[in-house]
Amino acid sequence: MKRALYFMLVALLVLSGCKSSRIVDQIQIIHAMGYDVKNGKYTGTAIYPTFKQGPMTKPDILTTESSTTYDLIPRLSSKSALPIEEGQIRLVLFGQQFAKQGIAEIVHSLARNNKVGSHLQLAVSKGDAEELLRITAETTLSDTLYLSNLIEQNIREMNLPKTNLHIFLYNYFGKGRDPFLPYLEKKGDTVKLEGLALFKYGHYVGRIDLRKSFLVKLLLDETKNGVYQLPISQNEKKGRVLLENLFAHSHYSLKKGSSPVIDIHLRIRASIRDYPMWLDLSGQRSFQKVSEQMEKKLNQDITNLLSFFQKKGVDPLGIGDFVRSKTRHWDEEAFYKQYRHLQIRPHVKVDIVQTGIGE
Amino acid sequence: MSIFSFMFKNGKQQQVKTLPQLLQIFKQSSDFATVEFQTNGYHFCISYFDSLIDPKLLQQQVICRLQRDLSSYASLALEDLQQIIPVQRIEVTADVEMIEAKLLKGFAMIQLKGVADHCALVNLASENLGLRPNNDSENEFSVVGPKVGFVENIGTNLHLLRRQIVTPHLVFRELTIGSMSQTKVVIAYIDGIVNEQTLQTVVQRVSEIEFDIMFDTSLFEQILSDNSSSPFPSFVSSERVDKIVYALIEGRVAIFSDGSPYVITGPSTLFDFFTSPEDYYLPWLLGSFFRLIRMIGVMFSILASPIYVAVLTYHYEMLPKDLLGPIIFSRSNVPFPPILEVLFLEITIELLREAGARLPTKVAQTLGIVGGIVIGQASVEAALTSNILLIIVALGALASFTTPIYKMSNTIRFIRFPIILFAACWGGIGIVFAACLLLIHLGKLQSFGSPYLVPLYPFRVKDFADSFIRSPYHLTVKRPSYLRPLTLWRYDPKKAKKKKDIDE
Repeated sequence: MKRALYFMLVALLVLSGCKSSRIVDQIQIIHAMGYDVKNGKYTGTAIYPTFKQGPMTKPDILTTESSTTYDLIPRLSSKSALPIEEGQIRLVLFGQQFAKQGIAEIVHSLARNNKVGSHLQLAVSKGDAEELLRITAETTLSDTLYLSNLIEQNIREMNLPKTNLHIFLYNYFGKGRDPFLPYLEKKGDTVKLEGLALFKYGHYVGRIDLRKSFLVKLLLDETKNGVYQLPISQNEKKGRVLLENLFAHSHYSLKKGSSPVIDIHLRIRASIRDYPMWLDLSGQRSFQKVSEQMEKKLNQDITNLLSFFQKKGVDPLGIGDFVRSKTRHWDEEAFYKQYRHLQIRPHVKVDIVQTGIGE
Repeated sequence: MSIFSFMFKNGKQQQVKTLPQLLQIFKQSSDFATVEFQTNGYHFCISYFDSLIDPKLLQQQVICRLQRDLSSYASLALEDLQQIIPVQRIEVTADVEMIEAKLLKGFAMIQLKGVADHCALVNLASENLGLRPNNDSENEFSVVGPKVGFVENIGTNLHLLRRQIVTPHLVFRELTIGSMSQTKVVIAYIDGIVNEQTLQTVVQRVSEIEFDIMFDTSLFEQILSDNSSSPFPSFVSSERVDKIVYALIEGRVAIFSDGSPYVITGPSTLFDFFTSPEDYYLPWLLGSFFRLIRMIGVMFSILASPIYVAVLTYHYEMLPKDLLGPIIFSRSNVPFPPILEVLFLEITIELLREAGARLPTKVAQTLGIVGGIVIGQASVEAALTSNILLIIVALGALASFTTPIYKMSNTIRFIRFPIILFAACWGGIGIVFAACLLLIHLGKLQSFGSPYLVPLYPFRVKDFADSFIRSPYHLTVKRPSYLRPLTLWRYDPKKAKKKKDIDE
């Protein structure tokens, strides 16, 4: 007993030398990392906060070039006074060109890295990732977390479906589903979220706009937020209403057979936030008519979106995975060969719960 | 062995054999007085220690009575003194050892010329001389409830106890401990509730104590404890009457010692150290809430600064993004690694506490202000520590004082230092490792042979009623089963439930 105690004390002192400490103020904590490819050369951009002036941060940027993606971070270290640590990284941004070439290597590396959390956001930028990061660092934004906060805010409150490294990896490695990422674009001196980037086997293949990404959000999971504009007509007047989603729930069902059919039942409890002055929402019947119009339009939009996915051959909704869960000996290759011709029918039901304060 | 041991040996060698020899030894002392007087033809010789007896008693009850009432006796024997002197239990003896012991306890020896070696021993001890008559239990204060506390006089203490527990089953068993102090020690228990085996363990351990002077019951605590090298106190010690009464009716044993206002009760469990009498005086919801707050406070106090060290040294990944800025900025000018920073502040607070405890109250207040505010603020401004750490350490110190029992709060203050060292060496793994060591130690610890970590280990679901939360009284009608009491029910729950309304 005593011998064991002495042994432990000695081990405590001796072995503690083996562990390298990373004292929090003596490391360079990266908040976001950007990857670009130009003329066959890879560029890595790291954005990190400095805290010398006060608790308010001042962002700084490091960039480096290399012929492979592996040694970008080590090369960044050669430009930095403090060791670079990626444990607090919140965003990995891929330039569109880089995303087209494939992000598999980076994703595999992130998946194995025990320092980064699974709440890490991945995103695609329209131009160079470096350019976007420079906007957040060098303009009045001056916030290293600007882009990741932007994405998180839009997931929480607006039209962006839930994404992060964990969900990306699930979609990436899972059979019968394809990943998607937020798509960012430079607009003057600010950055704007422009929808979703779609991936197939780790390569960027196309994008949809933010309006459509709301439909993806509805179809993917139970959601409690997001807004969607719909055209409306009453007594030969035409206008638009703004639908605010309060709670939406989707249910998939499969009719098996020689030509299988997938029905998507989508129920939206919504409030109408803004509508034209002439729209009469006072009676039960006019209510009914308005929601019927909405359902029709939503059905149409969803059908368009689904046929767009089918044409592109991407499956961000995980329809393949859903069919797999209902089919014995599901064959991925065979399924995606006939995916283009698969019949998918949306059935939207809109319940208008509120129209704001009124009589 | 203590430094007095050589005197102890000498004393044994010079054993007194006869009364004159004894008196010879006593007369070396200037406070040993002998009064000789004649009345009605009898020659009395009264010997006593001036410093021990009450002179008023001697005058009024002994000398005055002897001079006045002696005339009615034709022939006086020593045994007749009981009729004359109105003092209880006058003993007539020739036993030199007994005479020695009694004289040293404040008895007066009355000798009658003609009766050679027999003498009468009259108790004239002034029991409360120099002792405080009451104690407001200021060290274990509670706002609600009685504020009666035990005092240094064991007679008063036993009186206080008997007044609350009115049953013939309350048994006091007296022992004398200490070769030089001859301290009166009383083991109190309630017969028919207390487990026989526990009682036997207590009596055996107490009677086997070899020591010279028993200064306080805290000495008992160390001598009696099952593992004397543990930092955790094995027994609850309290100066509050209600606390001791509650322990007794639950089936524990209390040990009183003359000269000590603190009474120890055992067997105790870890949870007993976090219960305050106020928990029972407040409604159970509030009592439970404050008890939980206290326990969370203890956890915070033990773990806060180790986690600070571990996270800042090794696990920067764990910091929330909004906390990163304030922490890095507050540390950016500090030249030390987190471990030195933490040790510096922790030791500063220890110094403040120690200085505050040693100084007179008035000075200690000033010291608290000077130390707490000035040193804290200055050390942050001098960039010796970060101000976030200052808050963490101060909160940790504050939380450790919420423990109702002082000895436990000392333990809590102590055990965080090894954990801080572990955290500095091994980070989070070190904290977990230290916590494991602590749990193993607590799991092995015993108090009078009963497990210390009960009801967690061994797991006793029913005894959780009064552990983390203080359940309402109808759920605590049964005594804790780990004490193995002879009668399990505290009172009849059916009778208690019966509503005696008018319309019945």
